[in-house]
Amino acid sequence: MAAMHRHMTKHPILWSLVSALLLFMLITAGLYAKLSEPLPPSALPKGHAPDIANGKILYTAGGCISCHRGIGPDVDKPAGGRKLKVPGDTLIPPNITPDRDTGIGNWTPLQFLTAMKRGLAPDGAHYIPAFPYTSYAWMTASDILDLFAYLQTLPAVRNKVERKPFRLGRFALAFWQWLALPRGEFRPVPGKSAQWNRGAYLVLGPGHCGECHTPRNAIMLLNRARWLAGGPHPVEKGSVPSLRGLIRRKRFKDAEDIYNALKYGEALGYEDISSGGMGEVQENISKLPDADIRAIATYLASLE
Amino acid sequence: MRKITTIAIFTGMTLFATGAMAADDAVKMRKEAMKEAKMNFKPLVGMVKGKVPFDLATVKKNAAQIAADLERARKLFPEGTGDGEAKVETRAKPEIWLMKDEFQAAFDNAIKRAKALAAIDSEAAFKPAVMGLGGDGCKACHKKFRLPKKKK
Repeated sequence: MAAMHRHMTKHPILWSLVSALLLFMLITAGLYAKLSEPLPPSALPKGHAPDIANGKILYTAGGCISCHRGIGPDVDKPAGGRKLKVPGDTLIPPNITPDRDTGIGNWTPLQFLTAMKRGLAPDGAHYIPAFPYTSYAWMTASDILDLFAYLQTLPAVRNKVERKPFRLGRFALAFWQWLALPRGEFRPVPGKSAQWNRGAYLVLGPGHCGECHTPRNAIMLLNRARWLAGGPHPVEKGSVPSLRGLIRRKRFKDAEDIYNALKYGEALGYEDISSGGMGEVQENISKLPDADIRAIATYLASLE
Repeated sequence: MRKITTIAIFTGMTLFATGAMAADDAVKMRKEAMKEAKMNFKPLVGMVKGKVPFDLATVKKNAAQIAADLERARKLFPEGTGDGEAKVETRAKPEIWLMKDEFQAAFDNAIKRAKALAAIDSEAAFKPAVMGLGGDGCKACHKKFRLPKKKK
């Protein structure tokens, strides 16, 4: 101890730097631990009986199959494994069928809730936000549990997908999540109709439309002040159209027109909505109950 | 010998140029045919949406036109006129030539749908027939064989 004390007084600058570094590492480790905390059991809704039919609607609205689609004969199941190109990387969506070894068959509802609302895997790893949990986090806990229950009814497919680490490191990702995740879930707006609120919920949450249609800043955070205002495509070349002022700009006549575009797409001559990635989105939306498609159209028609 | 060779070379060049021009024409002509089909489809969409009163005669006439437009376009996909190959801008995917049989089948199906629409006798048969053409005909083929609109 005395020797160490002599060392420190002999080289004060060096030891100040070392202490500062140690303090910094401690704070970072502490912060990282805090940002990697799973949701507590109190986050689960009390006594919720899962509604599988609702789960199926959310699965459709969420477009889960579009990324998690399996390969070959598993093309209609979310068994994962297809390459997903993003800027500077190639990701592979995991298997979300209820296989116990390679899928989510041995997950608990709380683990699924944590994944969807916090972007955290059961082993504590942070998910790369190509998985749009920054939108899914808006969903209610009971809806997320319904979706989980529905997924458990799908056929289990054995397909092991290795998770790729985030190329800029886990600390950057954890910090980004802290900035990006919404606090709390969607709250209906008073004064707006139930239909409008349903549309808003579907667009913000499971529909995750904002992930493409909202512009992002330099560190890929959504610019919520310009919600759904369009901009450069976050992943592909080209741009994504704005969904604001659709009626004012005469892109559509009214909410009914938007409804027809979403439900029928090119079958009724709405060609643009079948372009690029939207084709798959329109196919998914078209499978929703009519009331939900109308709700989405009502919400979008109202945006200025 | 020299004269024949010269003639042969020039004939070859002319044929080649004609072939190349014909390829460009094919792209232009098939785009026109498809545009016409779209124009003929529009009033029928108006009827589905109830914006325009239903008129059986118009439906049958336009559907027959669409079938004719499609039959014209069907023959205008020679080799070398796909996206990236043709000199004129085109949204024709390479799958058209890689999956020739499927492409022809998709085209035949669309023509069949158009003819089925032209053959209806009542308003009751209208909606399923027109949705069949738009969905199973136009959309299904485009989904596989046509590129999305070029983004600016």
